[in-house]
Amino acid sequence: MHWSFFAIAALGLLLAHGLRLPFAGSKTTAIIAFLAGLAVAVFAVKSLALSSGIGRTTDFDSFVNAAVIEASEDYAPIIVFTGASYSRNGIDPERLTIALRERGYPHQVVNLSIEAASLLEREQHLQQFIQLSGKVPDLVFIEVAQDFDHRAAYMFGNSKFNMRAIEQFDLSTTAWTGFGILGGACDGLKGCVLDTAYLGLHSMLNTLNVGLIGRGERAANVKAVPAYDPQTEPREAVDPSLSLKTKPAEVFQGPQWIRSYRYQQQQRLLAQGTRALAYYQPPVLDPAARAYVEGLCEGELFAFDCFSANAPDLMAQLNGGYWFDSSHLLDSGTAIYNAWLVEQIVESGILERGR
Amino acid sequence: MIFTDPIFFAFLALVFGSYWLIPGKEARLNLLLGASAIFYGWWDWRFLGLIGFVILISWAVAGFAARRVPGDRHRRLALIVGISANLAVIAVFKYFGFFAESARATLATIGIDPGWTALNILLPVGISFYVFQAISYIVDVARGDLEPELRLRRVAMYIAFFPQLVAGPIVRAASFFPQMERVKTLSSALVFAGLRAFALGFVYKAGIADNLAQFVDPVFGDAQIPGDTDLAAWSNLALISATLAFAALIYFDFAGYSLMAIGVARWFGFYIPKNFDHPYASPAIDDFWRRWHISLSSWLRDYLYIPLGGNRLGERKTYRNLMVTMVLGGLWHGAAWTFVAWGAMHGAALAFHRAFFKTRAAIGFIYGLIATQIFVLLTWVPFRAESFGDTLVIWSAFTGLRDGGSAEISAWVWLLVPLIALDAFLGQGGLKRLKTSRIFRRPAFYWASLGVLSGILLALYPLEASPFVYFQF
Repeated sequence: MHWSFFAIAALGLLLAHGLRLPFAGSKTTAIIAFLAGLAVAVFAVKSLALSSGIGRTTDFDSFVNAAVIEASEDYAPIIVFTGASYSRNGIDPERLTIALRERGYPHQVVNLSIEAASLLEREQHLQQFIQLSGKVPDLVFIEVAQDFDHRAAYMFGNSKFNMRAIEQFDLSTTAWTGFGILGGACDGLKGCVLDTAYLGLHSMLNTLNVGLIGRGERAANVKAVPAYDPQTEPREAVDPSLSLKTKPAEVFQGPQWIRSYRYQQQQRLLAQGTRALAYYQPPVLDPAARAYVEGLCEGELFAFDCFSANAPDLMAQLNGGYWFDSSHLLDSGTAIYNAWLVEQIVESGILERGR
Repeated sequence: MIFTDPIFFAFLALVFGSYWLIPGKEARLNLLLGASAIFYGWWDWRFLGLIGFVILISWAVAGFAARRVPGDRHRRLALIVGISANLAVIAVFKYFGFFAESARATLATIGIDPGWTALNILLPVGISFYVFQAISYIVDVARGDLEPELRLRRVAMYIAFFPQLVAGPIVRAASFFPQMERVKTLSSALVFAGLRAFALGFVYKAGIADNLAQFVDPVFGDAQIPGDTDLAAWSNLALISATLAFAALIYFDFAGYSLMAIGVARWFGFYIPKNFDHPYASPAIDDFWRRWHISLSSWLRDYLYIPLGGNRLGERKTYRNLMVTMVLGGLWHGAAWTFVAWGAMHGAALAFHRAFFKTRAAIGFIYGLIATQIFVLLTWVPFRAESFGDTLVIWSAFTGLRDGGSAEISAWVWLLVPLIALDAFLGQGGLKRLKTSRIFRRPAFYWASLGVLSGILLALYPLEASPFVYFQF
């Protein structure tokens, strides 16, 4: 909690104790005066929060802070993996760093992933990482997935009206998400209407600073917690032989809204000094989901290094008790995937290209 | 559904609009009764049966008493049955598990295994409050201080009126029944009076108290998860700071909820007396109890302390009566020995104060204030701690003799001291000239202030709301 909480609470007490029965007046005056007072308060609180670096802190801030600590430990070039829960379970930065160093690459891998994080939310925290660490990543690996491309407001399928859901919908994220919904990146008419309503409400709550001071904090003050979340016990029974099934990939481009967002993200990161971007998705059992990423790699993202997990050699190794559930790996599965991924990265030449 | 939930605002708007649109006193009472049932049933509809039983038994015994002359043996017997039935409700639902577990533990220490395990009975929300209201009604009738109410709806409204149903203030029948008979009209004065109480309560509860749990719970442990504390990790200063935060939390939480109840009741034309009067500005422990949870302390005084003899039977019996009253008052707060200890300490302090500080001037305002508030702060430790062991650890932090851990909580917590002082200053007439200035009543200024206050409350509003502390009592 920030000192401003106490200052604002004191002002609240002062105003609440001072309320007296008002003289009669016109309704128009009342409405205009009320809205003006509200606008002044919202603007003042927002300015205070921005100048003090206060935000609604979430687990993502903890992961960023852990990544900042890892990144500050040596002067090695940084590789950031940023994704959703697939990556939170499937990217072990320590394993990847060790494997790369065994092959002569000094890079330090950090994981910036959290459940149900859209590309837009991940970008916010990637920028936060750059700001707090003072380091621009040498390479950024960006997770892509069918779920997120085809539902712009994917977050609302998992949680709503909490700190994380409200914090991410600033004006820019709201605009991009709205663009996605307008383009049909939602689940049917009912889903589109609901996502639009939730988007409007969350954006409004964000604009009105709801909870910003009460539970707000400077992101740097949040306890650091590593993002990688190794699992050792399955949470549901799955059929691992699905890993052997493949679906032919069709070469295509992602939906317009996310394609546009990816393009401007690429421009921004490269302009900031990131040497290269790459795309990936950790393994999932659904052949269609794997084929989607492979098709995207060969289509929209063909100019980038793109590591689809649709490779038969990888998936054959994962035909066993390596699955936390049908979309997430156990730690033993992550070990297999990360070893494979390192080989792919080294083979691609991305670690040396353009240096 | 608590007063700070968005769903409550929808509920309130619906009930408020309907209430003032419906003509006729009886129809409005019916509406409020229905709304109260929905409000209470929102937690768990099964609780409605219990409150229904309390209402029925209270109405029936008072009605029976009305048909008998005062002093009649059957009348007295009926009233005793009514009081006993109410006490039985609270004994079963609140204390049965506690006493059964205490008995089992005591027998176990002497090597006897009684072979039972305490039942985990769900504690109905607000049971301590509405049972005490029911008892006060029956006792007032038994004493002849109040005419029995023969209309079941009136008794039901008195016990179940939703603004004060789950957390008080504990209202007396003598002040509430006449209010039901008055024809009420909606006026701007009524609306603004309710808004003033509600807004201040909202600042207390949602703006301040709910945000303090983040300092208290990590140290004292989550009240809902017994045994999750790790006091050894915390520094002495952190333990002291967390105790301070708890003292502020419980005050702003409870006083805030009471103010919101007063405000909501006002919107329906009912007057509920205030429950707190800035107790942390008290220079003496007896003064503290005149300002803290006023409706409970006056209930304990009128229905326990005075019937025990009060201060009429000599000094020694007065001390005994103080101790009995406060120990039972402590037990009212929760079925745990730590609450009993809390009550006993306050009883002892009241007795000590009576014995040695008969006049206010004996110690002086500043010294009295410091001594009283340090004592109150120290006694919050057993009130919040999960065990006597934790209590001793935290008390030892106050002495500085403990080897503390390294974990700290934000030093900003100490800004709560000036915040509480500011609240007491403003609430006790501070800046009176400024506050009574005509400029504050000019519509543009008033509505702009309300707009700023709304903006502030939104920024302070806790997205993860904390349950009201006193619900567990």
